[in-house]
Amino acid sequence: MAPWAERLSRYGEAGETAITLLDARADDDAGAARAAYRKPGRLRAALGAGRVRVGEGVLDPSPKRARTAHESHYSLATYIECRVIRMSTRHILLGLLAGGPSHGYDLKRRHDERFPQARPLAYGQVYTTLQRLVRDGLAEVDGTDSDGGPERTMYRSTDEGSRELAEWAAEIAPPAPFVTNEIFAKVVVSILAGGDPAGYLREQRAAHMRRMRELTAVKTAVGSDLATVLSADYALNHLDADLRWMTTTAARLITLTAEVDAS
Amino acid sequence: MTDSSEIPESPDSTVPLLAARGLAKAHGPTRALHGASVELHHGEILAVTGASGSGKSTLLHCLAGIVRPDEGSVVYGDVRLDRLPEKRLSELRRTDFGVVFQFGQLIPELTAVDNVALPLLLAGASRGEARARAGEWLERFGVLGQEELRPGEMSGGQAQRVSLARALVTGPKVVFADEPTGALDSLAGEQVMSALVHTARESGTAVLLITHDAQVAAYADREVQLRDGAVVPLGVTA
Repeated sequence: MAPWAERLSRYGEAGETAITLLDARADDDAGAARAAYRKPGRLRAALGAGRVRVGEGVLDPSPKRARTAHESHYSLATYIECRVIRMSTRHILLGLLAGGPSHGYDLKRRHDERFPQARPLAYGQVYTTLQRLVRDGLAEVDGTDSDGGPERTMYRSTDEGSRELAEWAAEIAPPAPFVTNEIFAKVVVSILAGGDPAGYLREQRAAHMRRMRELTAVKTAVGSDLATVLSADYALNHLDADLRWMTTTAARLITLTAEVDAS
Repeated sequence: MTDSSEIPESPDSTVPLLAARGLAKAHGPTRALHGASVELHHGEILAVTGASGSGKSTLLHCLAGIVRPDEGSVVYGDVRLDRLPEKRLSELRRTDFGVVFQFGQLIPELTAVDNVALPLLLAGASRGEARARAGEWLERFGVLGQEELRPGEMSGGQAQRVSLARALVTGPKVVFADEPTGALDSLAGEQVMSALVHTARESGTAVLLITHDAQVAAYADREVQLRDGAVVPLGVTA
């Protein structure tokens, strides 16, 4: 049991480190990038020394790809691919700028309106990303606007920014290449440790259903706009997929437990 | 034992409107229910979920007084449904309960408005009055301009909304819905569920919703899960 849990935890850490490395590169933070670069190497060495194998060749590519990308001054496409499920703030801001010039405060407000179920965007992240867009020639400063309040820098998308946005929007998102789901890991670990996976699945199901009721209430509330309905639908369908997996797994648990016990 | 008219309009929220205790029911050698207990409160929307063959529909039939359980009790207000003579049970079903099935079960020869008017005609309303009220309910369910269509001339979603109007037109205290979206695509199903939930909440009608679909169950206030004819005991309620 212990080697499996330890190994799973190391893969989780390796994945996080890979993201840290890529983020550090994106921020031009050389010190943080060097520290993160060294860490995957240590993790990979530790993983190679373990007695057990978890999906060899399946879970490994992420830190490896991140390191390769670092060594070759990764391309934007590689960076996006490695982040997989992280939303691309720069492209979303470019999308919001597509309607016309805007300032950071307004972009932040419109982001939170358009993506109501997403993690709220921090003001600092908006301004940092706008500066990077300007640096990369994808946006440019378009004067200032005070509108009776404090003076604010206005930004607008450049032609190159429009092209970049169109390419990104048309790019097919890769289907998730492997399973790194916490619920899946907890069920497997619970079986390995002789816990109560069926009890865990019942409680997890109840938590999922509570969230699904909240989302259903949000999307059916009078006056819900299309963005709210679409984002609630997206979340509901993913929670529903989890639930169906949990239901099937609960039904299979007796067989599954017998298989693990016998191995 | 009392008449259904004695079911209080302003309920004590601690007393269930409908309660089943220890229900058992067999169909030949197959045990459909095996000690199932469930409570439905005034104005509550309760989802009963479970795999095929878990006993969901049999539970609905017992609670709605459509079939009698082999063992256990079904209490509506303070009326023992499982002991009520057939004639009184039939009358109570007509006045207090509305039922919606997966395939609507509308009468194919009747138009939408006549299908909805039927329960009112059976309760003694005049044809003109029944059709007028039926028209109002069809409007509430967004079935406009299709009042004179027959079920075969409507889409599945429209027909199911007509079924909902028929179930609610008499002002029942409980609506039993057995997989009401089971035959519909997801968008039509969503429209049917939104219409049902919105109208039930507006009128304070309790709903017992049978479904195997978690996204449909998420419209309910609470969920109970059935497995092998009994309620799964832990971690299933909100």
